Amino acid sequence: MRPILPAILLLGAAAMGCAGPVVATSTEVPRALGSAARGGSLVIDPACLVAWIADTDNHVLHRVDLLSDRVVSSPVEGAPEQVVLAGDGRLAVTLRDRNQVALLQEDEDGGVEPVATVDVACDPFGLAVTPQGEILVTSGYCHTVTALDLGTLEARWSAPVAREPRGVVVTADGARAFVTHVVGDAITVLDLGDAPPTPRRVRALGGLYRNRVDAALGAGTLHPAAALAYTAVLSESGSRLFVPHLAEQNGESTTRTVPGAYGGVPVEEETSFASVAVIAVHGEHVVGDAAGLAPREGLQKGAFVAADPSADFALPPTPAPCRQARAAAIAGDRLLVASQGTGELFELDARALDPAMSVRRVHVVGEGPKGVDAAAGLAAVWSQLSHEIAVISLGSGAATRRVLAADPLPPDVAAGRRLFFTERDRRISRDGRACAACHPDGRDDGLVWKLGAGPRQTPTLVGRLGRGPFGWQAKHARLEDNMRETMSRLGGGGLTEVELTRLATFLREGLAAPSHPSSPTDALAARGRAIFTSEAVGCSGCHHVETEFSDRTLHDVGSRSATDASAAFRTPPLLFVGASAPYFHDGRYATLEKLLADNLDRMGQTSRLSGDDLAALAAFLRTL
Amino acid sequence: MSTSRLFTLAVAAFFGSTVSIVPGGSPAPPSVASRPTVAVAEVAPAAPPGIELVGGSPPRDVELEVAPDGHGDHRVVVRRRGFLVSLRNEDARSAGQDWTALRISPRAGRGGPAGRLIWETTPLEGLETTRGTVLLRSDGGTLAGTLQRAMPPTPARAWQSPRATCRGQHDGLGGFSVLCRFARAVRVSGAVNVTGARSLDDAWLVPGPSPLVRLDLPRSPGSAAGRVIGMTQGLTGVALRVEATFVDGEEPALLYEESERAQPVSRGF
Repeated sequence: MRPILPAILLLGAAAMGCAGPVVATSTEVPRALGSAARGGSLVIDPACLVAWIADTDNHVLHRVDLLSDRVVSSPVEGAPEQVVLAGDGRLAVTLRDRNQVALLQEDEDGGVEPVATVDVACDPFGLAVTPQGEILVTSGYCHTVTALDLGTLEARWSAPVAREPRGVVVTADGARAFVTHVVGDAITVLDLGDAPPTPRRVRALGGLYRNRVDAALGAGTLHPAAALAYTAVLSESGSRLFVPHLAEQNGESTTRTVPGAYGGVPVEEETSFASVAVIAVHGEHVVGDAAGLAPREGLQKGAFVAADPSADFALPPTPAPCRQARAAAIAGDRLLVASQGTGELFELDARALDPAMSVRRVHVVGEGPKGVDAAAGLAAVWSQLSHEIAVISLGSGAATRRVLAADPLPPDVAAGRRLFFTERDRRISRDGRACAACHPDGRDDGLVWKLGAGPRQTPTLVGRLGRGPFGWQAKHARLEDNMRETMSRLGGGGLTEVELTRLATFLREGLAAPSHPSSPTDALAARGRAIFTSEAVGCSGCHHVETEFSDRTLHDVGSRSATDASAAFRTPPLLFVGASAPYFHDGRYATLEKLLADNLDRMGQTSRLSGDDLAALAAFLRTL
Repeated sequence: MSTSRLFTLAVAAFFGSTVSIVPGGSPAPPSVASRPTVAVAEVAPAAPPGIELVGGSPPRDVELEVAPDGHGDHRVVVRRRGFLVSLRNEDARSAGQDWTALRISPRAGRGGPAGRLIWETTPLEGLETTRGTVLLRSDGGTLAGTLQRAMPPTPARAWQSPRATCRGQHDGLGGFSVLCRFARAVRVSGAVNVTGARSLDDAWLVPGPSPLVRLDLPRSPGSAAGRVIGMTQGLTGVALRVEATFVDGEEPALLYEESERAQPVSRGF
């Protein structure tokens, strides 16, 4: 990699006193930073122009000196997901597979040595440091935010939040933290003055502004649902919060015939588009989404097509940029978004009401970018699938790329992973939607899709694909055949048999299942297990404990709805059922408690169970 | 979108006044929601800080009419032939070709000075805007008005593309107004409000061989205003978005963004 920094930057960095890493002894308690810091798969230390990279595949932390190109790779005890600057030459990383946060100390050679580790709620992902000297950690599967003391890693508080939290950012004054979720249309706000804080949900996602513009332009498809909010970033002034996500149309057909436009030709519009919610930090509302907005019907009346049928005008959504927006950074008026599904870095106009509608420049960066940060007129991007860093001059647009590590995955798994994440492959779906766009991390987007035989909730894949038959109707003995049918239903042209095999291999061997306690850890869950396995109740008659909690056969349990083509459904595996709401094939139950309360002996004999018994049953299911 | 909104009559409070602007008139519906009137002004209200009055008379062809409407209210009409005429205050805005109007409701028992409206006119063939105020006075039941001249609007961010030329200006009340003209090959389909309560508020189109669009993006503390102009050029559909943000902690900003997409055509012929 050839340095692309101008000499003035080198001088500037030297003037900042960045001759070498700052070293503290492991017994020294770091001082509070006094400012907030945001974690990521890649973060830049702006004082030294050093990029720190969490290489999940290789269990390595890379230190890349952006001035000298020197790279130091240090092994860590687990799969690092994010890294954050913790002050005094220290770094904190989430070790996702070990349910730990590790505190590391940079040594004189640029390597890192462990200082301490601490267990946290399962599936730790995002990191941020508060000015008060705390590390905030999001735990995806265990839907928790934990605050750790920056010096001792002692847990100060822990707060349960909504499903699948990922990114976390802290305001400069340390008063609030904003948490994103890959499921749902809201962010979580935590008031950090309270310990533990009471989470507040702010509904802010779902392309609110973009939908209004599309409706005004006569587009037939609106996209009111949301998913895949992996990350968030504050503007430099701290007044705006940017949350890239995917706005979805999951409940209606997206094939439209717009009267008065296209000569009545059916138009197939996209099932989703990329959007960036812009949230006013002060008021915690979407900028431009004041109270009393016109309802959708009103906007459609005002649409150009309706207002002036002779105009023959309709402008459906343009193909969506920045798919699977895995990471974001801010550089002045530029919002930088890493598009994991397309291998690109998008430069968006951060002043726009939806920056995803204002693309300024696109850079090709590598496969599967999932970390980005910016400093001193540079952007650095980490691409996990190709294990490379791209360094881009935000002035000239010049970029250099460098592979930092080999791919440790078996070739078939690596190839399958590429297929899983890649967007714009029309063989997989009509609109180029990737597998990972509905199955983030191999899990689910929490949505119910109207496809083919009736509404179907997106199933969690990870840990559930060990044996067939597959699909709600158990039609396919082989996973490959089930995927082929799914792609056909999505309008895709279809992958080759070899590619399907690779994809199936990745799904079975490459997805990392959340590591959570596999047996009841408290009395309530243990009581639930006893109920679940009792012959009198009979849950395990179909949900066989030894086979992923499913007998893999069809049963008519009276769950057919008016839109279902058949009455019998395959017993769904229950592994990870606690974090895969909504429930039933059509997602009719929002919680396990609602499902159990409405069971009416359709599945096992639960009508005679007491409220406490049902609570125990739900507690047990959440341990699976 | 038609020019029938020339008859738009607004509903709103009127700053520091003894009058309120109420719905009424025909044939178009009011374009701004009703709000209660505010305190009586004991002296003639000063012009807003962003509006600098100048000596001299307004252009001779600017005409003012303040008259009872027969229903207990008054109509304030400003006319200027060959111009897009705008009339507004913080809460109510109307515009139209050649003339526009707001409906004013005097409050019983209140006397003395009343309030001030801002008028602006833009020639149908240009983008230069002339500004002034209407000083309204009440003798307790009847309104009278006087036209005054003000400095032209202060320019804000502008926009130029092969299809559209837009001039942004500070509206004198903390927000923005934008006036756009279009290339002859461009057909303007409409202009709409995508952040307001009603999609036809604050966006006016004067159709014709060389269309003129006026967009008002009034100050919205802590939030934003967005308008969209739809155009076609051949088989290309074009959307010009105009966005103003008023986020706490930031200077108000005005942004333009033009996007396009080829319009599908029917096969088989």
